[in-house]
Amino acid sequence: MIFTDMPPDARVWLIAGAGLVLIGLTGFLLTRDLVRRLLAFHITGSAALLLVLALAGGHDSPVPALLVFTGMLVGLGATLLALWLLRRGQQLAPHADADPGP
Amino acid sequence: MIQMLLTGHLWLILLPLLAALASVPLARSRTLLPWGQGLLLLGWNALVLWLWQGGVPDTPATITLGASLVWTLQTDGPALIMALLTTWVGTATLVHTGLHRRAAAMSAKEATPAAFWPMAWLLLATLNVIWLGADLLTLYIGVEALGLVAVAMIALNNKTEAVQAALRYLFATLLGSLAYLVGAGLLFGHYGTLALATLAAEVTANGPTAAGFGLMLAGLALKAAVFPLHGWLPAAHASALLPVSVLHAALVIKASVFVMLRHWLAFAPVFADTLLPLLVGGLGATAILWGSIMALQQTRLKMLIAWSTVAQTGYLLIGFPLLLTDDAALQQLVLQGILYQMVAHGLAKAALFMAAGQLVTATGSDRIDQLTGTGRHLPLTLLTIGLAGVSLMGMPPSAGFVAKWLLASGAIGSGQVIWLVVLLAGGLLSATYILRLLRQAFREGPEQDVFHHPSRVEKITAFMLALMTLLLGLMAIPLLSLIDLPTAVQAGGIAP
Repeated sequence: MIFTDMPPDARVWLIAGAGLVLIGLTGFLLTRDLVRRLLAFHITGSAALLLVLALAGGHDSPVPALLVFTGMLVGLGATLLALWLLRRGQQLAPHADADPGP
Repeated sequence: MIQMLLTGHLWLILLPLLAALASVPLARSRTLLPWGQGLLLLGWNALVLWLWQGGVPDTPATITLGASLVWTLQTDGPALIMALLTTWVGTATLVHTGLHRRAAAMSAKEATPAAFWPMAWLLLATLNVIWLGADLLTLYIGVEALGLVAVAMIALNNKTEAVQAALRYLFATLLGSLAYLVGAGLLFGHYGTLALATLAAEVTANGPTAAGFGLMLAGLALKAAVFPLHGWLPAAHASALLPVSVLHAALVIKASVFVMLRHWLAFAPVFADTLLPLLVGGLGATAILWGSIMALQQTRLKMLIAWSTVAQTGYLLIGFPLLLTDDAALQQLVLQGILYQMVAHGLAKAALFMAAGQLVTATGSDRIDQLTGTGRHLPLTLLTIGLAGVSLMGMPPSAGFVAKWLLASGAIGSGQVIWLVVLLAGGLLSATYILRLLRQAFREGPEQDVFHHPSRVEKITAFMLALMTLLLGLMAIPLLSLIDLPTAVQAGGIAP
């Protein structure tokens, strides 16, 4: 229903975004290595922004771009924070770079 | 510009932001810090009291950002109540952390890191953004900024387990926000607006709405540590610095549930006939039972309190299905109950965490079985735990009792007695873990060699919070009268 109402190039974005979200999430859940996990999160995040553009486009409005721009800024901040935390973790315990799990 | 600065509610966001900036140089000076923070807190409290006196304005505050861009702040009763709770808990936490002689005399090693002060104010500012947000973009920015600041604050404790807990929390909060963002995109694609009020007026039950609403609820549930997505919470709360745990348990968790509530009031009515209300209520009930059982089994004080937070969040969710009734008066009752539960739990949990911190200072240990004999030395601390505990159990007279009474009335009024049973069972379970704590503290045992007395200011601030749960149990009208019949949201939002 959403799909058929879309312009064709938005459909391509939707399929690509959904596929990439799946790949990112799989990577995220399957690895315990924290650096890989951060990379997997990045794939998921970029794909989610693609999804937003595909889903929210079609209205003549700056709002989708605003949403995506905010998402990108947040992604940048989150990456810096995650890298800082990873380094702190490594300084405190030099040989543990995997999530010990619950 | 001038008109913008005259908007009183905008200062709820601006003042903590300015305070965060001012705290950067202030935190360098141990002599100036208490005075500066005290002044900032006084100003903030005065502002909130002034807004409380003014009551709920008829129209939301609007701020013109550009020729065609108007930013609306949601200044209704729920927003005001949460702003009050934020002020109370925030003030008590900052006073508890830095405005006493021990803090000034502490060596650089054990003192609260200087970065705590600007971060705490930033956290309070983002919380106020969330209470006042009237559209999905503002709420997204608020929730996202709050998550990042909260993660950084948990990592302030220079320990491996704190950094690991912060990382796990970071991933949870980021995934939650992604789900929220995609949901917002879906809803915008379908309705062409992000303003909650317009969405609430136009919403119909269809595929895109269900998907978008579902994604947002799931993302927020992950951030609010709703059962079964609570895995990151106990470690994060137990390993953070004490004031960070206080702010997080009392306010940050509430923020995600509050955004859920805003969306629920807008979108859930069209899905009232589906399994959704039962699912959300059921998760709440499971959280109460599971969280309480886990709390009972803990051997460490802060872990017990953290698990209790998982359980108490469940009470908020039980109110969600009860909100979907056609009877407006009943709906108002339940909305009041949910918000009062947020206030009651926020105050009680903050008091409990502070009291726990004092017990840890006194005995030098976080273990519950080391509490033996503390009852004789720290009567005020244990009175604090007792008062806060009464509110957590939902016994009269306490704010927790008022909240549960309102929720129970809603459950009986709409004939959904099953939620009443859960409310009663949850009260009994919280009584068992609170009483277990108190029994251990009042048990007489061998005298300890090492016993440090927490400062008087610390004891009194924690006690004041606990006292407030009692006072708000005796006088509920000043807060409850702020909540009129629940209109989902006032008109407004970002209109492009």
